[in-house]
Amino acid sequence: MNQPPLLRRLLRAAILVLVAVALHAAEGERSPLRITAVTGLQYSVKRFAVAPGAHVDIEFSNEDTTDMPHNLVITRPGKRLDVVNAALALGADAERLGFVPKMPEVLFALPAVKPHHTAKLSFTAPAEPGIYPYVCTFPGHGFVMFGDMYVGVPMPAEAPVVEEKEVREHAFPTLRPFLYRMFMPDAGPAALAIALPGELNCCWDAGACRLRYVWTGAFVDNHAYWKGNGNGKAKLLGTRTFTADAAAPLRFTTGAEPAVRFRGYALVQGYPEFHYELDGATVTETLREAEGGKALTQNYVVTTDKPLQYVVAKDAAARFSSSAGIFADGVLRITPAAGTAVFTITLRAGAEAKP
Amino acid sequence: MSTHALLALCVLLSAAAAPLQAAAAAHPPTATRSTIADHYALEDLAMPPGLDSQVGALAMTPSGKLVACFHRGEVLIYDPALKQWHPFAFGLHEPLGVIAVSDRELLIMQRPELTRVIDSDGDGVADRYETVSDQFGMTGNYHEFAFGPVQDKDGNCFISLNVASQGAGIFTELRGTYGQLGVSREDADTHWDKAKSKIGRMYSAVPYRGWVLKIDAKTGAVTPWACGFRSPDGLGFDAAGHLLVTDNQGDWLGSSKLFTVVKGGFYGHPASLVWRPEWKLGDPLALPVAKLDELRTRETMFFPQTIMACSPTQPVLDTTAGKFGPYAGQVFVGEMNTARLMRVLTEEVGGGFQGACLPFYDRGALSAGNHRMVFDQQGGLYIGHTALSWAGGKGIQRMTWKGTAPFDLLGISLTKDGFALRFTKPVAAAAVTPESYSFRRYYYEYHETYGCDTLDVKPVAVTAATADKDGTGVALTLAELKPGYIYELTMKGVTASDGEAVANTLVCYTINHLRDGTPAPAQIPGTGPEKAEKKKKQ
Repeated sequence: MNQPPLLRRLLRAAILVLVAVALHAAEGERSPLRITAVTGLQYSVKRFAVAPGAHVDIEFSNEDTTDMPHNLVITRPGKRLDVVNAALALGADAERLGFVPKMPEVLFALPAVKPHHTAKLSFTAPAEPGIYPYVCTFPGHGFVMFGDMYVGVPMPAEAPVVEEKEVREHAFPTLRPFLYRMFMPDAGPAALAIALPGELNCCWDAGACRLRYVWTGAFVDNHAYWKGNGNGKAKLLGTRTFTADAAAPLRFTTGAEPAVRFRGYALVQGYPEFHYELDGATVTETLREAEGGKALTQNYVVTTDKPLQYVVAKDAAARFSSSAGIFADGVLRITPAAGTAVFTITLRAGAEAKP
Repeated sequence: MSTHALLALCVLLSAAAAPLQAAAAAHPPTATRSTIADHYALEDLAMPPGLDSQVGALAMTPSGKLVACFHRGEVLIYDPALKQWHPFAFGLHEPLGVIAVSDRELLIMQRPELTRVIDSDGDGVADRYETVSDQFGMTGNYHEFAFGPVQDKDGNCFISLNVASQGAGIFTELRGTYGQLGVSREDADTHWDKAKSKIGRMYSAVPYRGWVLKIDAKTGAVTPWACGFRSPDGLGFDAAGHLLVTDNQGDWLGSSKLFTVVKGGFYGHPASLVWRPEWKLGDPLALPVAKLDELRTRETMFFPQTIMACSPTQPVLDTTAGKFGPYAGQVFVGEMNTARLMRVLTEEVGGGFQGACLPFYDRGALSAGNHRMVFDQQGGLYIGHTALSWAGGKGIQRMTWKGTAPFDLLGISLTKDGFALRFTKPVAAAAVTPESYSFRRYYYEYHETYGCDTLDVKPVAVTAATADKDGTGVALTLAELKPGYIYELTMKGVTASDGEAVANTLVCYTINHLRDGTPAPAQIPGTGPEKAEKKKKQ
């Protein structure tokens, strides 16, 4: 027999050391092993090692924020799916048994632990070395929610987590301009993320009916939301270049915030044309990129007889210009003609300084 | 979607079939072994590559195309003749309901609003997203899902709004007036960990969370319709046009429920009561449970937790007039956690609704996560699957009837002393015996704690079984009938006269009223026999 390569010998030695450390921890102190059920049908601990015949205390806490009960069932080696399927077949008895089937393949079990409850499981580890799975046998959970107890066999170091980069986020191509209605940072809960050509992006708030901020570069990463039940916001990729004031820019009077009501949007060659009411007047606001993405234009059409104001944001780095009206002290004043005010604001964001 | 979840799904799909095979092998060959899968076929629709195919909504267009809304906000249209998917709309925020007004116009419920999505220029892609109504609050809490719309005979839309979960906080900026009693807006924002203990597991911090709203699809006018809901994922109508709503086990729901919803009703989860226009009783959580119990309208039925379902979803009426088998005019309901579709059978007794649920299609080729369903004109049932981080599945399946008659329970009705069962075929004489029908009964308490054990579980003896003239009806006499209890029937060795074994053996009937009108007593903490027994032991 050939001598194993040095690297493999070293690895084996390292594993033995790891096992020894793990065994020592299990035997030495009597503090319980803490395993938590976490959101997304997972145990916080996916593997642990104990010595054969060792006394084991597990403190199992259900911290699943989605309010589901979970259990923890330790099975004979290789019997996880058998136990999971037996639990599914329990029928009317399932609830009474906490989804723990009565079968020799089940070694130790904590039946249903309600959300935000903790339970303890104490047992003597099997004398026979092996990898003993533990699993939640609630319907649908057992195929994803499990881990392994290593008894007297080497526990490999944690497998490196390989970040799986998704090639596509949708089945069909998303070409700028396009948008998402999405939970966005620094906005109300009814917001939109808009990707314009020229790597220009903005957040428009359908609750407040106005532009909230602009960023340049890549668009958004929605996976914090997409990966689960929506408990997450979009992550802005790229660099924030402009943030609007807390008050509405478009208004009839200074002082009180205008009453707004969102009426939806049309897509004109893919560009959003927002429709809303502002103190009873109807407004359309179209966002487009200009100057190759260096500037954002907001084209407004307001049906009104009354004079309008557009209050320039305090963002000192931003530069505003308008196709109509007169700027004075940071306020653009527009006088409608024949019942309609039509004007285009061009916003040139400042240096890409703000994170 | 991560590869992890994909893998989980594959395991789920492959593992789901195993117990069925085992059961089939173990069954003696004397009776013809039958399952619904012998009479119904399932096909998986090929989904476009790159799609996270968790389905939020399904509808059929007038020309027979399938509209499907997905988790990442896409609306795709499937042409069954060409077996092709076509993108119709993008960028919606968790669409969970759709009505196809025409091939070019959809009404879609997404988190922030009910939206009319229109292809105005006829190029096959939507270009107008008109807000029909956004006149309800949002806190940004993930659990504030918005369901519906379903449309009644008069064209009114109904939607339902989830309450928020203590498992997460709320945004700094809200939509709608903050009205959470007991916790200030500032505390909710800055001291969430402390604040959340005061607001209940599921809370209604902004208007109409936990409500069913009626929306006039033309004008957008909103009428708050009924409250007391927790997670009312499923809306539908029965054959008589009653609005049906399913709700999920949790706080104040000992087990999942089906409600027959009428205007002004309060259906049990107290958080939403604060948005009643005439509400003057303060923080609902501070009220005695007896008071809340007095205010509420009882569920039409329970779906006993894990026995029947863990998370019931959409009720869908069989409008196929027989193309989908013997269940025309009946209502099917999906189940999320397991590979199961159910049927619900309701009746009016003592001035209220009650009835039974039973499995319809179990396991076999069916995936878990049965979320949305729609019948096509050929009588096929499209089933859309989802998970949203809970137990479930993804993708779309289509179920069709093979044309052969299953032997199944067709109807169940409470009688003065038991139940009248009606089957799809004549029952074998050997199955017209009390021993063939095994009952136990139990109840769920109305309380704040999450879920409830089955309480006061007792077997109930069947004292007589008689068949009617044509043999499809069996009348059972029970030793005892108690209102407020679920009567769980398990059929044992029941076969048809042609030897076919009954396809589904489990039926759960919730008795709210006896035939003589006796109503269910209050079943709140401290009133039940089970509690009394526990106290004695201590």
